[in-house]
Amino acid sequence: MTGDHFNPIVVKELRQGLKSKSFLAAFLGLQGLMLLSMIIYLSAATAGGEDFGFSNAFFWAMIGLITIMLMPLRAFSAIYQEVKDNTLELVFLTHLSSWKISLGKWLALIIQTCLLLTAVLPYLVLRYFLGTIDLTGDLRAILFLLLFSMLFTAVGVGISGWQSKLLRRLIVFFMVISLLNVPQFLMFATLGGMAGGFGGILPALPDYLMGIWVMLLLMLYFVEYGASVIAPPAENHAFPKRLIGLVLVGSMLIYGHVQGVEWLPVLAFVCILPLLVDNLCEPVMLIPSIYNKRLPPPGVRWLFFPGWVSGIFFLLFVAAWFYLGLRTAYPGVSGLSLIVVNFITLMILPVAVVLNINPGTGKWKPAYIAMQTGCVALAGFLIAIHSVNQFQDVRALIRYFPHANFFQLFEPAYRNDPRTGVGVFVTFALVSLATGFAMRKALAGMVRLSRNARGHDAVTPART
Amino acid sequence: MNAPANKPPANNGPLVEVRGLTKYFGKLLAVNQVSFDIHRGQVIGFIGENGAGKTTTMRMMVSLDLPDYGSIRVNGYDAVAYPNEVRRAVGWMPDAYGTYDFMTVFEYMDFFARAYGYKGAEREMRVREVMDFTDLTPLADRPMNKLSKGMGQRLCLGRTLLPDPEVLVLDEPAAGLDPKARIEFKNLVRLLAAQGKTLFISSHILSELEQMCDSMLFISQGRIVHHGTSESLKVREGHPGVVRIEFDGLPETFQEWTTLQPGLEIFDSDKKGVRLRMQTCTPESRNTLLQGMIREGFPVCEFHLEEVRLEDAFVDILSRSSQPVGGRPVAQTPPDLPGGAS
Repeated sequence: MTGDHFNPIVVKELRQGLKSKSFLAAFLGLQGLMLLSMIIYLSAATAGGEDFGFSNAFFWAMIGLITIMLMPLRAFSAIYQEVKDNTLELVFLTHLSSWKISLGKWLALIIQTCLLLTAVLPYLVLRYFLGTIDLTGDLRAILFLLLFSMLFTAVGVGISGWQSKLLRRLIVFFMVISLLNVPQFLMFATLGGMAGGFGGILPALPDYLMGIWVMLLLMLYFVEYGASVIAPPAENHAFPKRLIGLVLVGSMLIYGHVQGVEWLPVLAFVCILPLLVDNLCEPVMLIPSIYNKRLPPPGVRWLFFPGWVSGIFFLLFVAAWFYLGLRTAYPGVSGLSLIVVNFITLMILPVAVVLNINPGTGKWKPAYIAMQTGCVALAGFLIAIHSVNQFQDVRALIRYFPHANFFQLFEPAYRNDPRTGVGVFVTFALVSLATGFAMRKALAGMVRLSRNARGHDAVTPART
Repeated sequence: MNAPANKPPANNGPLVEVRGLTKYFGKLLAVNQVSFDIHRGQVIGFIGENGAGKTTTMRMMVSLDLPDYGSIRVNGYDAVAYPNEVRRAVGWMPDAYGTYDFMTVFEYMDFFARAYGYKGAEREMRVREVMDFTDLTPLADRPMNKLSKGMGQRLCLGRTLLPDPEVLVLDEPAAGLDPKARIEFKNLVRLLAAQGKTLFISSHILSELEQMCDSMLFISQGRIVHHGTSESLKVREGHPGVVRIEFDGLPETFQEWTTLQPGLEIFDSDKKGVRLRMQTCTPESRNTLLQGMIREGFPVCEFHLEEVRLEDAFVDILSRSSQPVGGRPVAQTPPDLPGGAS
């Protein structure tokens, strides 16, 4: 009995994982594929040719298949499987926090991926002796693949806590479809003239380091998200998640500004979008102990309370930040404020509608996602009608519909039309008023608790 | 979660304090204003038919479910606000538990010992100690998914005992066990009670609970319908009771006389005497009955109140609890949750 300093979940998962059929299959499969790759490589070498392109491509594609696709896929059932097997609740009752549980699940899978990659190293060395391989470049490439594997595994662990089978299956389906392209990408990338190996197509060092930093933050976020899904309601996981989000966006905006990378604010926006949606889907828990914790100073702390109310404040804060980022990146472009204001309206529209019509909904997150999906579909429909028939009535309607506006606003002529500005701001004003009305009760409770909370005086778990 | 900024005051009151606990599942009222206390060292039986709200109440007690109304305090800590403190004080043994693939009994116990924060030699000692207590040592190397129901229950109890919790909440611990395993399990629970552990046990095998528990809570349709010792349950003054009367020769007129007395009914008789059911059984009513029989000249040679069987009392309580009770507070409506709890 050793390994006292290891997370107990890591120990347990390794005890189970290393004996699992999926790990053994991946290990043996990779060994087989590597041997095949070596045979192809040896054939090319004995033929006396210098073209190792195909064997390189095959080598990297197979590593990609195992590390970026197969291993992360195992993560998608990490937490859900325990919920289904009725084992997770017993772990909740131990001294392990939800963070340690989520982190342990992720680390165990990463260790297994590392074991797989370690088993590949002899083949890497063999290739070095057989051909003209850039060994350091290849090692850097393996590290990069490992980072992607870690990121996708973190996404899997984060999502694996979802109870909705449908949502999880949809996400897995889209992930598989997307990840199926990875081996192909690696194959074609290496075939595209990189006889020296995959290492040749990696970005310059500053971008490489920035990429690593962003991926690490995203991993942290998704592992924390997994913890928040299974945590008791009295724990405030909004604080770490939103803090990670701010660091992520801040880093990307600053780096984009310093390096003059115009598209980085857009990438930052894509990275933080899941967090913004997650914030707006969270229920508000009126539990005094949440408001009693050490948080940043009054004012700033309103960005970090769990629940959709502070999620709206966080959205406004991030939107303002993005506006500044966009202004800096695109100084000559007009109408950026319209894009940002329209985005805020788009995000809070379900709050304004659903929580005024049915404040007691017990399915707030599915309701939010369903309404957003419905709005996107409706927007697509309206835009399609307009593009075919050029109906002016439809055009006018689009101006008042944030989801339809979202893509239209990237068109300068549309954005600079004064009628568009009227549409965007009128909708924003109406949606804001309705949102304010929906949040009044929860906000009053939060204000009361943040002023008067006395820890153990918590008696009634009012959920709002 | 860290310790609360302002720790609750030293708790000299009940170890567990449940007040007005209410839980809805959709519009179904599963637990309706349940209140009770558990004091240190008490062994309390929690009895109710299937779907009465036992498991839901217990899950809220161990902070696995959130109540819609009401509060639970364990050691002074609110179960909603300070779930981690509550979880440290409570050991929970569910009626069904999952197994891990590729894990032996010892590895399972070792994992939970790690999760409870035991390290090195202390962990090994604690695991051995608990495995010995629950007689799991011979099964140490057996895969946990190859255990019988009884062995599994012992393993589950062993896991619950690892952190040495102040209060053990056991949900149907003897359900599905064969008679031998049930006796073994009962002996384990008795040992724990003898060690001064506080136990809260749900079961539908009333005779077992009767032997183990200091006090019993009856729950029906989400409401507590009786709280007291098994003795108080059986001797329920003012409620129907059965008296055994023996005569020096059963008088022929006794049956006729009985039919003329309100609230009396013979439901069993033999050549020595009768068993008489009294609609209202109080010392006064029994005294009146005895005096009446003596006045009539019946040769009564024995007269005593029969002990009520726990099962009969349970059925009686359930039948009464289904009738409307005047003055009981009406439960709140399902909670209005702006923003919804997902």
